[in-house]
Amino acid sequence: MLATLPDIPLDVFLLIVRNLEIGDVLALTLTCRHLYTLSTARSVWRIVLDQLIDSFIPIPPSSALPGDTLSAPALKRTALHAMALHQVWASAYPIAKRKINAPSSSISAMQITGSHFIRGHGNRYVVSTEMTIRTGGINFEPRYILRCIDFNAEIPRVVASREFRDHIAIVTNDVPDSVVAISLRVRNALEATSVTHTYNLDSATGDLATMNEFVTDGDPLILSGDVLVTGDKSGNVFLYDVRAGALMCQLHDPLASPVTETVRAVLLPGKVLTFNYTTIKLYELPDPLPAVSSDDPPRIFNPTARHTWRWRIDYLAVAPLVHARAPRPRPVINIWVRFGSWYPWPVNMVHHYVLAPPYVFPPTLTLYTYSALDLFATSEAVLGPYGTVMWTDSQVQNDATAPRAASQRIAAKMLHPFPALDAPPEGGVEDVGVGLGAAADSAITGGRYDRGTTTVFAFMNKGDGEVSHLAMDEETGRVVVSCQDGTISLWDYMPDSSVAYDA
Amino acid sequence: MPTIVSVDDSTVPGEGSSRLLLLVSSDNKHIVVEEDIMSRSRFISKQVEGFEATSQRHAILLPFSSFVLNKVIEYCSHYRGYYLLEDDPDAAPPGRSPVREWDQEFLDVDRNMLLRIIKAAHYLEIKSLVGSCARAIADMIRGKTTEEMREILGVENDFTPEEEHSPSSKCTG
Repeated sequence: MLATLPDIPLDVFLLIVRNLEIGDVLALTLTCRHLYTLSTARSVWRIVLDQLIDSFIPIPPSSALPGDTLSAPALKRTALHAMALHQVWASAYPIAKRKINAPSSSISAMQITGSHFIRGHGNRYVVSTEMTIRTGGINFEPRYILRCIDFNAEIPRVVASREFRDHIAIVTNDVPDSVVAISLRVRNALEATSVTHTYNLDSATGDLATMNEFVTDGDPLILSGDVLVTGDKSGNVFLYDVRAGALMCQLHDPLASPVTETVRAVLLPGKVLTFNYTTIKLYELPDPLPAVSSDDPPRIFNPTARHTWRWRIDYLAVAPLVHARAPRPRPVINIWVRFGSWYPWPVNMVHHYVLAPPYVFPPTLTLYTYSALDLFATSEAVLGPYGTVMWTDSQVQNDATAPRAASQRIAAKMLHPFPALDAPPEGGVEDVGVGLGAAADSAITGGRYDRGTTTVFAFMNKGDGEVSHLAMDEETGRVVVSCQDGTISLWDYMPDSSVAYDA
Repeated sequence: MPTIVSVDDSTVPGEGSSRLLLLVSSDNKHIVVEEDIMSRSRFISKQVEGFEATSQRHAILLPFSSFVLNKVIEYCSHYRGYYLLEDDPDAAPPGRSPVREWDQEFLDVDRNMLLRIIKAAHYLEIKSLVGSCARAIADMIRGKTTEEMREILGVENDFTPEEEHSPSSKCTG
């Protein structure tokens, strides 16, 4: 008698599913009734979801948590929804479902200084910081404004705002639905003091409520749960307990030169990595962090390891690769760097490094790609926890003759899975075109030149105002683009339902 | 009715360290195999524990042909004395099956044989072999369409035309 697959028991079927991608699983379940029936088992979709999580494909938070209570069809829908989003997000030219503008401020001459997603709280709020000059009387009066915008309202609207006379800088919480959603630093230049205000955000109305105010040093770098990390101009880093409004500990590098501003930081259990324009530093801390105590002064820690880059950095984006549904204490850290040059402008190249546990320096170069920048063009990069890096440059893909000055590109790369570090380059050797418009994703080699696809989110016409800030949320497939003319728009790539997934 | 055969320990040729088992296939072939070769099979191990309890050693009847059984014994002989993570009852089950070059060659057989081996391995509870077979089946159908999968796996399309044309409605059912 011939053996056929349909006779196989469920646990063997599950083992086959473990070795397949989601598209193959869908095709397999449609071959016959028996396999279709097997696929109504929850464990099949649980395995598929676990594989998506292992591949760092975000699970949209709008779908219910794939916990143990979900039925098989619900788990399947969740997996398909995640794949549908991934398919759009990682395509060569993602098409936005909608692009909507935030209401423009009534104050003219406004400049956006930052825009951030609020994670959780219904995934509907974006906060922006803006600067404006009020011309009234004889004095210039700068005003700094914090606005909270609800983008899920029928027409996006400002649901809360705060105005300050002094310069502000904010960070939003990495942890979704945190009690302290926003930490805002107000710096009084005359008195040389900084005060941090923390805000709770009402998920239903978007209203901001002040939680507490306390004196801090430095500018905010990260807010993760109850821990706020700030860095001052001389390279000192401070860890605050935002609920207590008190300093927990300080990171100090005795070898640091007097002007070494920390620009990025990564907070891991028992470790902090700090990044300035020349050096990465690793600090080992107790885990959990030392509690705030009135008896003992906050402890000071020195770095246990340093890595100085060969070139000065123009800008960098850093993020640990972490899937929200399967957090790991020792994640791989993605580092996206544009190096400076001897000239007052940066190089036309961007580099991706990874720092893998146990975080031994130097970081490993995994790929680099061509990214032309016009003189004085602003450039910005953001890196998400799922490995999407998004940046702006002056590149015009596929057309070397087009006038670059008229355009700005918003490009992205999926840094996961990044090419195996020791894998031979694909595509063979090709000469790099001298033309500035050399296609960014053509198979040019020379080590690890640009493997993988560059995703183009948009070519912007500079007449509409240059992009000054980017923010993205990989879980909900949204991007916030702030332009120098003061407009803020939200681009939404989330497919409406799982039906959009094309296996 | 299981035939009860007494296997005398003294019949072990050569060294006396490994005892013998008598396996009987569905085509009534009697195959003598050293016990520690088959210890990878949880099913056989449990049988042997039973023998120890009653100090009676029986033949073990298996519901598949000697052709398949010999193939399984070949696998077990190859990995005799090797630790394989999947066969460790105390280890956490791995996600994807590991790639083993020898297994890939060993399982380079037709689909029918592969399915018979996986069923035999499942019956005998040899997890590493089940895993390798599952990977081999997955490799055969990866990236294929439903229609191609039917052909590869020898599966007949038994959906009604209506069901066939509304896969999404079936999904939510």
